[in-house]
Amino acid sequence: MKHREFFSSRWGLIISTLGIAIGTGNIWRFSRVVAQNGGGSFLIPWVIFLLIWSLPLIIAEFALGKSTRFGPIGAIAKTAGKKYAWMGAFIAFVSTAIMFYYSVVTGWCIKYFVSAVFGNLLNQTDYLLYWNEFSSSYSPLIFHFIAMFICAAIIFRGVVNGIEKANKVLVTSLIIILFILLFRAITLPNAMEGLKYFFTPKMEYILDYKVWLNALTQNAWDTGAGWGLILTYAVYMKRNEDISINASLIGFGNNSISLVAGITIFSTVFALSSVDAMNQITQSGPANTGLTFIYLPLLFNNISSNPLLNTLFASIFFLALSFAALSSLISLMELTTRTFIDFGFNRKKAIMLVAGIGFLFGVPSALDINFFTNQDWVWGVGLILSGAFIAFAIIKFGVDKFRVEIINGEGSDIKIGKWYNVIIKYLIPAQVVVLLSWWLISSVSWDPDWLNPFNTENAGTCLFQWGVVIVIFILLNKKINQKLTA
Amino acid sequence: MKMSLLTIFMIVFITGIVWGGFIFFLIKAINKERQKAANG
Repeated sequence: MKHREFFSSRWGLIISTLGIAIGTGNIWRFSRVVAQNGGGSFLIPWVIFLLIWSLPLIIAEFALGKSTRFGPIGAIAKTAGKKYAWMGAFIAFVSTAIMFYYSVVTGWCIKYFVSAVFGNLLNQTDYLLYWNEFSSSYSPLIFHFIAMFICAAIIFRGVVNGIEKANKVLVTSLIIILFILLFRAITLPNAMEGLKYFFTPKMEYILDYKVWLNALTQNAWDTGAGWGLILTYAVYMKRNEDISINASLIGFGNNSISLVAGITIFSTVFALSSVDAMNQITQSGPANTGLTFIYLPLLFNNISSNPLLNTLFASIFFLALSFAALSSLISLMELTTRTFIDFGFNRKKAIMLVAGIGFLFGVPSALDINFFTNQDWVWGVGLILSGAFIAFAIIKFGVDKFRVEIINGEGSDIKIGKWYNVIIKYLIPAQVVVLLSWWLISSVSWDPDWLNPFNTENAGTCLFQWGVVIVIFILLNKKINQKLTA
Repeated sequence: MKMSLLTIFMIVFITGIVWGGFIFFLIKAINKERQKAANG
């Protein structure tokens, strides 16, 4: 396989990979999940799962991409064996399905940024009505198109001139903006109450298994571990590039940003709304948008007595959110593009195809919030299977061989010890089994309609959609292997 | 507004691991890059 482009330096690779991990999940999902799971009590399992889920899988993805020089399908086929190529296809499909609706989310962020800049956003009196009017109109379709177009134009320019350069601007600006907002938030009166809630653990929550399971899904969601995205960027890392330190920087860096965003949002919410702060922050709202698109604009209206200053803070918040979303959408589109390249397409044709398909398949999510919620639910949970398939591929290859020859091979700055074997062989599979079993058992016991495949958010719709995709890829397995560029 | 010892411990513990971990690996990466540059 011809392969010409590489990230220009270690820092280019790290900042681009950080762009994958840092997304809207760090800003809006993290704060909501922390609030729903007892504040500080959630942070303990969240840190533990960073160490035993996210980091090992990020290391695995770096190693798979660097060693095979293929996207998810080729990487799994080369590592686990050709008869498991369908697993790689499932990983690629899950991220592609997420790309369809994530572009819609990116569009929402851009729309709110534009509204904030032009002063429309803070002029509103009823933000739920504002959101409902926006989401039920054709506007999300326009902003979905804009998001797709921006990212396609960036990827079109290639790895160094497109992906790397864009991420250098997006991620750096995002971090600067978040620190400006953090400083403003913690200097608000009563911000300490937010900090106290955010960090104080409560025993009843620590002993609740749901808190632990939510901590695992949050880690799976916001670090990008197991999605196949880091694997895709690792295809473009140089042969003499390190894996372990780079992977650790992504895992810890991503969660560092989540902490900054969490402190900022909790301080702001408690400072400006002491009465119903917790009610508001835990309410999901339509498609889990409550906190970000309905409640935060209301808070920005009260951040100071100067309307111009309020507009400035609202604008830079939604700019940061747009940057976070764009940097992640770039990686989602690149994964699908890489997959097409692996099947013999040239980059430019592949990008046009991905942008066209991405726009088309994103239309239902842009126009129907229930469809969006269903897709977010089905493929969000599907990421756990993706992580499991990556661990399976390494187990099939031989964990110790993988660790010694690939992770600790050429270019490694530090050597990973045998603890890695234990995590990949036992802890990751155990986490997958416990999480999926809990999810199924609780679905069966709570929801009498749990098997109905046409519900928006239940086990049945996941099992049905995953099942269809897996059966199709198993049937196409032979063809997939034939078409994969040698 | 006073914070309890438990809250202060948690702030130090959580930020220590997460931010501390990031800074630790960042310094390691910078040092390795410097070494590589010095070795040509």
